[in-house]
Amino acid sequence: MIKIAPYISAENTTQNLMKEVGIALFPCVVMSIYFYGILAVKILLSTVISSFFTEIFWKKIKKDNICDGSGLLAGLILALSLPSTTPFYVAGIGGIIAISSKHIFGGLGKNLFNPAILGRLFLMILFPMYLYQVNNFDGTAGVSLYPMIKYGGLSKIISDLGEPLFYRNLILGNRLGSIGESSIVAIFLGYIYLIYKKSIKWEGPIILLGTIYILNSFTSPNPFLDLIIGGGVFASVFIATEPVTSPYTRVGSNIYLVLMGILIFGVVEFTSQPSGITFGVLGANLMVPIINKYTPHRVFAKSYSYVKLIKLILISSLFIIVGFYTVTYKDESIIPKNINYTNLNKYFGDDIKIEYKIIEDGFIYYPLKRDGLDIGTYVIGESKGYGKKKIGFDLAIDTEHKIKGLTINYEKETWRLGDQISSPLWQNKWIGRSSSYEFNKEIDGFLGATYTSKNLYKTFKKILQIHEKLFDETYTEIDGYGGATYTEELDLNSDENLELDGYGGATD
Amino acid sequence: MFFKSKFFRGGVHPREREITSNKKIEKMPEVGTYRISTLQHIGDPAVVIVKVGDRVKKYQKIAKAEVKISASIHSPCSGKITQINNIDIKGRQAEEIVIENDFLGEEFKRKKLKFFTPNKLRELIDELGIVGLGGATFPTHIKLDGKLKTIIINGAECEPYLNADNRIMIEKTNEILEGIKILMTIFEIEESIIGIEENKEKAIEKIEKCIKDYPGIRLQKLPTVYPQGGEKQLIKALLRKEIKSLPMEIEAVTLNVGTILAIYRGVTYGTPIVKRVVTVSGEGIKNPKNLSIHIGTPIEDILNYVGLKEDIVDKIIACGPMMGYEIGKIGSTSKGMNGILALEKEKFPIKLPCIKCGRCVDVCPMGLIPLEYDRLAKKGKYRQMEKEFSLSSCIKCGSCEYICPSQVPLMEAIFLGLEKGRDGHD
Repeated sequence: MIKIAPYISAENTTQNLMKEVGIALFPCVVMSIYFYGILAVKILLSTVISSFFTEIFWKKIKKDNICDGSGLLAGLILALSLPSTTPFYVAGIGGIIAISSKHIFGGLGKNLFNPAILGRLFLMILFPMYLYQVNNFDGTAGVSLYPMIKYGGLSKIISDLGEPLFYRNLILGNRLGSIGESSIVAIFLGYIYLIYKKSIKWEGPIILLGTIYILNSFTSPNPFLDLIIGGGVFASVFIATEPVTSPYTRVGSNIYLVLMGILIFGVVEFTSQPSGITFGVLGANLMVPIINKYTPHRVFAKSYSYVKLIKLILISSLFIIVGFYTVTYKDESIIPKNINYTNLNKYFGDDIKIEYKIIEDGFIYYPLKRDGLDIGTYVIGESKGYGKKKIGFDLAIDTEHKIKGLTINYEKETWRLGDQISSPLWQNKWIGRSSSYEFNKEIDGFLGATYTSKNLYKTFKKILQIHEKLFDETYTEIDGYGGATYTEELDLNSDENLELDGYGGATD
Repeated sequence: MFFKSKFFRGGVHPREREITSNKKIEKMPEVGTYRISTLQHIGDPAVVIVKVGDRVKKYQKIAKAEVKISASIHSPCSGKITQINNIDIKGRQAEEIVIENDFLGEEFKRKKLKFFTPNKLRELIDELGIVGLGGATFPTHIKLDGKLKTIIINGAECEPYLNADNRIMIEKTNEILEGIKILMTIFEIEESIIGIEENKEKAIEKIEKCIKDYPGIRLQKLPTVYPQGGEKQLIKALLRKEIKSLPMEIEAVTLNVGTILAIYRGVTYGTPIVKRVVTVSGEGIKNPKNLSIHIGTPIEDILNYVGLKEDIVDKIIACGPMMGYEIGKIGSTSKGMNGILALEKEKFPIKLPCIKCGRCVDVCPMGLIPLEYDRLAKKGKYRQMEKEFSLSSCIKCGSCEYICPSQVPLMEAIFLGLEKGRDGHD
């Protein structure tokens, strides 16, 4: 067949594009090996090798002999987005999933989702104990610094390390996080190389990071820090700019990046997922066909169709709103408003009289009486676990504001990590503790799941503090005068409201 | 680097291959046989008005335009008509007149006109068979119809390799300016603009020197971007107006410098188009040249004249490398052929699936989405190409396929879509 014009072509080829991105990733690879040593080498090698062979396997099936570097590249990006604690076989499985996901969609150029990120998502589902691992504040492993700062407090980390050292480590990459995405310097070198080679549009990463920064500045005291602690910088250069899964028009790709920024921010802020990147990127990828459809360029001598753009903005805002509604939706119906009498009897024995309940800050307090005497309070509450799942528990507090008993009624924590809170061994540790108790990660935390137990600790502390506030004066006076006769008088007032109850004791 | 000033969106900048930019226009000696086709222009083929065995003189009309969009054909030499064959040009039926040159050089004399009115000039241009010499070969007399305010002279010549217009501007500066003046006086036009790409420094220098004597003519430098010479892009760059199909909409006319030269010669000497400047270039040519060639000269004679490196030549194409077509050694020169290029085997990258990088979308000067055409052509949804992605706006400049890193055959899809869409396929 005769080839029709043009008879010349530009020098850049798809293979070259892939090669350029590979070269741009090189500083990240070097830094990851420098900081994590043999761990990083293992992850990198196993992912790249497994994705290479998966690629060959699929090519054999499809009888396609052309070698494009996309498979290796996806493997490399996946490897760099894994934490150093990932065992090498898990990383290898990730490579297989990533490449297969691409070929199931139809091969290069037809995949809807970024293969590396899809592979990572599968690993997060299959091996949460490695990918969600957040060790401790001075630890060397973990998915992201973000939950550390969110729940542990920034000042603690900074004071542990000293501020200049802290920032230096952040920029260079000696910190928690995935092996490749921790070093800002290395990523920046890659970015410079890619814009020099015109492989990516220079404004792309800036738009994405700018969106996250602006949104962060509404909620966070230190938005810049929030920006660089996660994998956002890495994703903005190497993942968000991936050509296949991003829109092809200029307006479209800008909208896509803004949307991705909003999603990443939303996932990190409104859910307890530590890694917003995975969900943000996949959510934005999902929108790409629609973005492409509604953001065509203005055709020469024709007017621009703003209607399409407005439609797109409406659709994407709907998408975001629905997304966040589902993510942040609190299913009220599952909260048990009923008293678990088995537990109640276990804590306080029989013949208990419940006269009223106090609902304070989402917790339900049932002051208990036996033969007219205060014997303590029964509390039903819920705490946030890891992920959006709730932990339901009931708590028995004695008259001295100490925990008398604890039962976790339901939880959906990660297997082998957070779900250890269900063990009676751990629950019984809490008996006798008061609100002044300080959390001790070695006694109360589990390896890799300090987060859950710490969150519960905070909830308990809050319950105890509220309890002290509610019943403080009543109980001290009981202690002070110690008169059983006195409580009988008090009993009369107990039918009235809480405030009267409180003052009633004081006036006497 | 980031904010390059441009007058229209998109465009590419192919590596410059101006091998012949400093070579003077050379006259090619006459050859023994001329093969002149009757379809050298847009529209219907001209009708042959001579018979086999007739003797013709130089400049004599041998085929005439019977419908409006058509152009007359004239003999480039004196001699005898030996054959009239049916041939096929780009899938269309036409005839080929073969003239045996007798090297006597007898000229057909035409009555010269002293006074011109716009109508008379149009008739003369029609009679002389002048068409747009930039490549599109649209009959010029139709372009000059109606009320005119501006003449735009296209000296952009944005295709790589080609230098015919560039050399004409350098060597025939006064004739071009004179030709513009004639048009301006006859049609009472106040303004005319010459648009030249910045990389043609010599031509700019020369025209700037001569332009002072001609009030109303203005020179505008244009950035070196392909397709700067496209009519729509040129008008956008010079007048900041976007036309839907023809420059008549804004009472303007675009003429190539070669066309202006032909008009000047027609008006002053009464000669029709029988010659044109052709850039014979490319890596496979031993002596690349700008040649003034008689229309109808067989390609083989030209290639023999300049010398062909047989071992490295892969294909011989007519016109520029971006919009040209493959001709091989058979065939002969026509009015629109501004270049004959012998290209060596280009190291074309391997064809890969489209990776949706959007480079074609970025470079499309018309704001289209070429990659969707490929997708739809593969599915066979030709009508959707027009309905959703306004395929008919495409100017077929080839920028999209040039820039494509995966070498997706976008132009093939576009031509297929235009053809099938016209036939009413789904």
